[in-house]
Amino acid sequence: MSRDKLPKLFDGSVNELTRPSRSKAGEGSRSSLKSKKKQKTLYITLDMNRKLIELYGEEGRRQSIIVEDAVNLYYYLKKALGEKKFNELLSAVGREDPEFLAEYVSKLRV
Amino acid sequence: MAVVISVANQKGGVGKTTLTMNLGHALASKGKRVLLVDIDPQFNLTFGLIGMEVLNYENSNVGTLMTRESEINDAIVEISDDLHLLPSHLNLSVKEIEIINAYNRERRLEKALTPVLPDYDYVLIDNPPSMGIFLVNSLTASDYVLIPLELSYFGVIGMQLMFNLMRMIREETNENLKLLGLVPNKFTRQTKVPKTRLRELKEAYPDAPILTTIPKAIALEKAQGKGMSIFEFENDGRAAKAFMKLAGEVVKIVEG
Ligand SMILES: Nc1ncnc2c1ncn2[C@@H]1O[C@H](COP(=O)(O)OP(=O)(O)OP(=O)(O)O)[C@@H](O)[C@H]1O
Ligand SMILES: [Mg+2]
Repeated sequence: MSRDKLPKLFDGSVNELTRPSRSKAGEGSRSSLKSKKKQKTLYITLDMNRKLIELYGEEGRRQSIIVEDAVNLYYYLKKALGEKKFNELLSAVGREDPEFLAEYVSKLRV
Repeated sequence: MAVVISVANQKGGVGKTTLTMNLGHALASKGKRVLLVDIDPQFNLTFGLIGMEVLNYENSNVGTLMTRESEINDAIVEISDDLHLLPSHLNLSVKEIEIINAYNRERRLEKALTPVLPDYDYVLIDNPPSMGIFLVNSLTASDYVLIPLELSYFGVIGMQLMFNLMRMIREETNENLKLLGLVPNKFTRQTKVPKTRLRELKEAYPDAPILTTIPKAIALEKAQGKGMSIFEFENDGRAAKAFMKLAGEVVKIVEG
């Protein structure tokens, strides 16, 4: 993943989003626009909703911050340390031993 | 007849609640009749505006309205003459399962708000940072979406997710949903990141309607901590001025 350029995730036109879609209904009052809202149903399964809530909701507020912090750490530490040192650091982290890690980090030279 | 605006971004902590609260105050001070709707189970907006009084609304809040256990007029709290609140409550997250299993679940909020729309000029909805049934209800009930965003890498990614969600809602439940604008928030010149991201955003989406930028201001955090709007806290500061300017822009776009 290159962080030098932002990935473009939306392939539509933003200009389009600022107008009502398929709007021949442009004329006429807003209330009549309202009554024309489609009566379709969005299909979200209970299970899907739960997953979405877990990912983004309640816990997610913290979770997404953790993921973002983690990606930033990963990306910039790797750049700062270089591939080799970074992989060493990762295996040090992989030992799941905070004391060992503290010792390792204290000796780390960039 | 009120114009309904969802303040939304799936990314957490970008300033949805801050924007809803202060834009609401700004519009009210311009003589507009404003209803704020808190549809976030974490009820930050409600707590900011009425504090512990939220406990009195266990049986009449946005959730009980959506499950049709209460009437909208019992749930509306008058903050001032021109600024009213439809509160959220701790029990909203429990209602989620009930609503998701209910008939017409995407239109519960729209149906609940309809009777009071003639009483207001603006309805501003503060959304949770999650793509669940509450955000879907909010976008289905709205005429416009206002997206606050942070000018960071993930901030701009979150904004793009909102574009995709808007497109989905326009296809499925509300073809008249429109993007009102993007509000870059927490802007600072202390690092070059915000400026760089803003430039990239404009390059990727030259048409993006970028509205007034809100500066990063300690006053906003302090005001929120005290449950005050920026106008009550520091009326002549940069942040207050930015929100008044934004309110002017919103009125201009919406009312032409
Ligand atoms: N322009 C700003 N300058 C400084 N602090 C800000 C600014 N805007 C928001 N904040 C602070 O950032 C934090 C998050 O803001 P806010 O609660 O409005 O975000 P949110 O999008 O509603 O969050 P959530 O997704 O959790 O509902 C709060 O502490 C708020 O006071
Ligand atoms: Mg919020």
